[in-house]
Amino acid sequence: MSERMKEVANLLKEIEEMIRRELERRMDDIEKITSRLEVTPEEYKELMVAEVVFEPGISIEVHFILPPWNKSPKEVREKALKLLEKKLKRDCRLYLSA
Amino acid sequence: MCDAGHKVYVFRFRPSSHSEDFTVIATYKSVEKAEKVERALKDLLEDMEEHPDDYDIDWSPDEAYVSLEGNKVRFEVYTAGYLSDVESVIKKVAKPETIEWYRDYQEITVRVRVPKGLTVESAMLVLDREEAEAIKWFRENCGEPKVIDCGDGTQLLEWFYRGDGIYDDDTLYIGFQFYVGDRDNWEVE
Repeated sequence: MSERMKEVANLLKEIEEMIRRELERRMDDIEKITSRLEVTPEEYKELMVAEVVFEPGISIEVHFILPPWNKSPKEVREKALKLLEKKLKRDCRLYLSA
Repeated sequence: MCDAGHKVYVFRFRPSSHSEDFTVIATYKSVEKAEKVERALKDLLEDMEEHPDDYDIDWSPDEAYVSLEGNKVRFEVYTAGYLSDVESVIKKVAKPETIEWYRDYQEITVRVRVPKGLTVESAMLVLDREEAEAIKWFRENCGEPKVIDCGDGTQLLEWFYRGDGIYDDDTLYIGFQFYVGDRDNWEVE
């Protein structure tokens, strides 16, 4: 793997860990949501990590930290957190409001 | 990308630069579970209408189609692969036994008329090279054909195909372009 790709892989790994930590802090919500679903809270967390990372806003943009774009990794991390927030809100609306 | 100790979940589709008709077919253990997922997908589409800013999609919810067939839920939409919200519902509401993903999904029946009494192998020898290649492809991808006696000294070899689009404008795209428009012994429907 080239140094450039290592940078991207490291940022993705960082984002995954950040999302997991954030989800840990939201365990109350997650337990409520998963009580209406067939997945366990652990499975839910890992599905959510994959979902955030695979969204084009992250999976494509993470490459923009490299030259010539030189986007700040912080910006991508913040975007991932915002995306996670939207997805958690979506799941609360879908599974808890009924 | 995940540390050891975490189960790795992979979302199936990364968006691409061009759109296609996507079909997702999720199969569940029971009809009840499939019904639950169908309802949740319909709720998702409504939520997309109500909160468009919360979704990163290149399709309109009213252009998507959700249907139920026994323990199978089918979701169809024209997109460049923006399906993560759909996949999320399919995987979370109930655990699917299988998820099948198709681009330009087709269900077609292919028939080729050959002399009665020939085995498929012998039929491949009496037909031309392209026809033999096509039969080989259908045997490999759809299994052995159903043999239908036509009562006039001929028989039909019939395959039912379901999957990514392979037929358009009288042509089968099966590793090579096989034009059947001018072949009286071939029929695709």
